[in-house]
Amino acid sequence: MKLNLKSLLEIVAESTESEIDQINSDSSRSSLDGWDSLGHISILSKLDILTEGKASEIETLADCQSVKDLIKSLKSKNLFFE
Amino acid sequence: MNKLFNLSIKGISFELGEKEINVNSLKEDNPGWDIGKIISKTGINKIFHTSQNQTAVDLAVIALENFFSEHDVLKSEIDGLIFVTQSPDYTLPTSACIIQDRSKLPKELIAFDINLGCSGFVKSLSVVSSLINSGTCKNCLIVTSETYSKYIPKNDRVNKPLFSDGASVTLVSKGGDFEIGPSVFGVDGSGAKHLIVYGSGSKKDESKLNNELYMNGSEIFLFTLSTIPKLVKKFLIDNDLSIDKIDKFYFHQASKLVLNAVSKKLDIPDHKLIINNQNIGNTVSSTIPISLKLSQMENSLKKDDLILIIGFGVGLSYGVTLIKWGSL
Repeated sequence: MKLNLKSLLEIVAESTESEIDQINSDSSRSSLDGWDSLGHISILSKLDILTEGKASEIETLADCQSVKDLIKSLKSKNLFFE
Repeated sequence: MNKLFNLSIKGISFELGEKEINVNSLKEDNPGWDIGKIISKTGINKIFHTSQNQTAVDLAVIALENFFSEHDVLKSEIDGLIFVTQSPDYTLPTSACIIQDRSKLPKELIAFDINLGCSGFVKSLSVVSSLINSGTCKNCLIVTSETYSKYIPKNDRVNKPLFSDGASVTLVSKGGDFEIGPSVFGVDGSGAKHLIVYGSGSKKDESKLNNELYMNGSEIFLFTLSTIPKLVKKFLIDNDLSIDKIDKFYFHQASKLVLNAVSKKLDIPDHKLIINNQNIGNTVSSTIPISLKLSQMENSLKKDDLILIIGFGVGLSYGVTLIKWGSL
């Protein structure tokens, strides 16, 4: 399954325990208190489920610091559409 | 390793660090931590630390005392000792030799250390089973012991709420009705830098000589998620098995988040997935033997149960072994 911006923002909000209206494409680890190590692992876990195991094959996902980084990594494997 | 017959696990004992710590109490040193969120993701409520002067060898010696008091086994019967640790007392001598002396085990003993973490028990079980099968020894102890707490500063939010100090003792003997194996093992050293204690060995990197545990949780998680489910699936297919045919899955008890993610990917039913470290923590190489012991104490492990033990972590190193449980 491919993700879009809406579904990605929902994943970030849920994983970081943030309100969805706090999250946008400019959100990053530095702007969200809940986007710590555990929050990032939750994001990775949910992405992997939604992409049916494909996300865990993207090595750059571990280092992503922002929503934009996540989009770039997902696009590299054709798992994100605008 | 092929399936080995005519051997048995004769008993398991364990010991935890003497200081019991409620994870909630870590907030005293770290008022900014959202402890509730941490516990909800790791699933770990309690951890155990050794005192400042207590080492992994000390913990192992106590676990051995527990073992010989809990089981009808004579020290004179022991002819093998494998000590699994990454917290040795010294680079040299070998900790297993120190343990032989302190625990008054026979001198006619094959004894050595294995430097492995979370996959250490699975790989050692294979080594010990092979030693017994080859006739090298008849009664071999696997002793796992770690004191990772000594590598973790009190403000480390990634590692502090997770790791416990603990030791386990497992006796594997010739004879009996267990079947151990087959096994499959793997290593990916390219990930070594993601779980490491810089300054703990002879390599001197001036910028990182802090002797503290560094874990890149995201990298370890991705490695686990991309490697372990595939490994288990292939193992099951190669051995004409399926999730349905396995009674219980004993993964290394890393954290609830990791175990749930891996099991979801494998479609393992909840009742087959063992998660029992809520009040113990992640004891590294001891998590699997402690899990087995807890199951045994609850009478939930039965003769002829087919169980899979799966270790993974530092190295990066991993392994899977099938065990047909016997009379214990």
